[in-house]
Amino acid sequence: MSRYSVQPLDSQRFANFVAPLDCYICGLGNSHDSERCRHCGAPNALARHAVSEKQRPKLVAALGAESTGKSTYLGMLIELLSRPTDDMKINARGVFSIGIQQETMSAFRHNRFPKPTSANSADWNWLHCQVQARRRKWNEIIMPDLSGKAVHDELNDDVPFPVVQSLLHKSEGAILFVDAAQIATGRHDQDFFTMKVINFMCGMKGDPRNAWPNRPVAIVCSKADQQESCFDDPREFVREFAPQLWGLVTTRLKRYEFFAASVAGSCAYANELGKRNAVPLRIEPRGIIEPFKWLSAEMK
Amino acid sequence: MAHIQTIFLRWSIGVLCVAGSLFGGLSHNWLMASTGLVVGLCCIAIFSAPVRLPTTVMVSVPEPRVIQQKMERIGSNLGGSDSARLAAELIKNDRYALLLRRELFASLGPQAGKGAAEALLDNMQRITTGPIAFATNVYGITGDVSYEPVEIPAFYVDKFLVTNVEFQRFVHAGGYGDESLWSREALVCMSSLVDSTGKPGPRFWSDSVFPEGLDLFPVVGISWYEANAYARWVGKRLLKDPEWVRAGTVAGVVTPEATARRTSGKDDEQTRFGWSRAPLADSPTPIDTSTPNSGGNGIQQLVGNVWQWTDDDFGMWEDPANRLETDCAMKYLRGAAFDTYFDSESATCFLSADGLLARKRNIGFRCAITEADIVNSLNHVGMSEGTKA
Repeated sequence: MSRYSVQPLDSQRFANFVAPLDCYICGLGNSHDSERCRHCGAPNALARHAVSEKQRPKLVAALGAESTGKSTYLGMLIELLSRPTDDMKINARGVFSIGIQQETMSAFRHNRFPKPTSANSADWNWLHCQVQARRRKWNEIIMPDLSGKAVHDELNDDVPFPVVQSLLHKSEGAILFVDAAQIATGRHDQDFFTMKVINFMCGMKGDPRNAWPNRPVAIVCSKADQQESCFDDPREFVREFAPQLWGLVTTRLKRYEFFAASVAGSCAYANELGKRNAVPLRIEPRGIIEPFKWLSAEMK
Repeated sequence: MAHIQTIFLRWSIGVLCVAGSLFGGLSHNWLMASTGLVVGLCCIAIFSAPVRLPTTVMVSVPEPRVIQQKMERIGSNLGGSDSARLAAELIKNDRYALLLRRELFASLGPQAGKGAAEALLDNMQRITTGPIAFATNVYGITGDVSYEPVEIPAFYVDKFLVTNVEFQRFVHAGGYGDESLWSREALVCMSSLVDSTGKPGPRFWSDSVFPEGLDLFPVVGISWYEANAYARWVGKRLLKDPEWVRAGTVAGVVTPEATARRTSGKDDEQTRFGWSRAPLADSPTPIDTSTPNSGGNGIQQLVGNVWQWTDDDFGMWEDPANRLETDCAMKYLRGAAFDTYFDSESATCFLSADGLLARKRNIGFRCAITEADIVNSLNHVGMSEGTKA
């Protein structure tokens, strides 16, 4: 026996499929119901959200070599700022932002650091938040947790990651991470990487008035708990232990500042399945908010 | 028990007065009846008010300044002989523990001996012999944390963290130049154990002097070697790791937080040990600041002001198969600090570690001495074990 029913023709829905949704990061079109941009892998939720809001979110690039502590920093940043303070308030937007905070805190509870971010752009967390500094108006900021390996591959032309270039093109500021412990012990892979990033940014085409030399860049010496002198004067620390990086920053960039940051008080290492994993021996975040606060003030 | 007796006594008085008024009424003595009724009802009304039960077993601890003044007074009352002057000098410089060593104590006069014993009992808390449940495999590489019973012999532990003013006495007495106080490993790196002006002293000092106004703050910015050298200079030693845990877990210690959590059903590991930290702060607090942990068993700021160096190598309590690797030699730290983020790390059961040369803003120390290494101080001030412990 057959039964008849009336189905509404959802023409609006079809129209959405016809009109492409432009990715917020790379600007290329995607079908309306796709989760991620098929060109760069950025979540399309950012674009949908930007369309619905009057204020367009500002992009901030957080870049550094592998294992410099970017994910740990971003997770701790949103954890600290989500506690109301007089200076700054932050509201996480979207599932991704909570995800990075949750992963970081969960790892710390188990005496571990967060797992390294996968090079697969579909696995990246995108920190999207509303920031309010000293009761001024709310600013929307998007700060993706990019994989250090992906950035490395993009810089070396090994594997193209269009999202990295698109992000750098649109970002209004950047946080560059260097491992304080490594540069203090003479291992300079990290500062060479950072120098590559700075040259890459400064070589990007575009309006010279809005080029990277004129955008604010915070250089954060991460894992500074292992080099206490870094906290005393991060600027002097970089000048002493990474003179090439110091020279490049001071000559190529106009708006820059050096910071020291750490999350763990000290670390040991566990040999697990043949891999040496860092184990935080205590959690005492220090210098986490300062770079973000400086950058927020500079981006106005 | 005492408060139960008090309640019984109060109610008895009230009931007796009411009974007296009834008797007066029956015998038509209206004056006696009315007076008895009023007094009895008043007694019952007043005495039935809730009796405040003690929630904390507090051991009174005098203020550090008062203790120092007392030590100076003890020193000045010891007489004019050479040995008395030496004893007075040692007591004034917090080195009274040296006088209580058996070999030296025999040559002291009775006054000096009593003075040193008084100084010890004022500055240190006696922790009786007993067991602790000592946590191993804390970092949980394989399996969960396990607790093992460890027997600890009686010892004395500093009631307060070592302060800047106390450490300055060591610096000014030439402690950094006295090779007998330092291990061979420390002597190799003495050039790095300097203050901000390159002179001997903790990292944040200048010209071997602590910053103004911080006299009663715990000394920080000192490596394990400096803490150990100071402890040896005053005739003490750093606490062993299990001793530190025992100091924080002495039976019968109840803090208000522990009581509150237990009654709210949120009893956890930290509560069992009865300690919790003060809210997050930017810097250490003075040692005489009252914190939630002040009082208890008489040991002040055991948790929550600064981490404290102990004398045990990192990993020595772990199973070799689970032992973590480190880039440099480390010693265990206990006690959490003003900037410790997680509550679970601000407990006597949590342990951390740092390199021997770490001179950080949140690491200080306190000293200890084994009871068997000194003469019985309680006997020399006319006290029995029961009255003090």
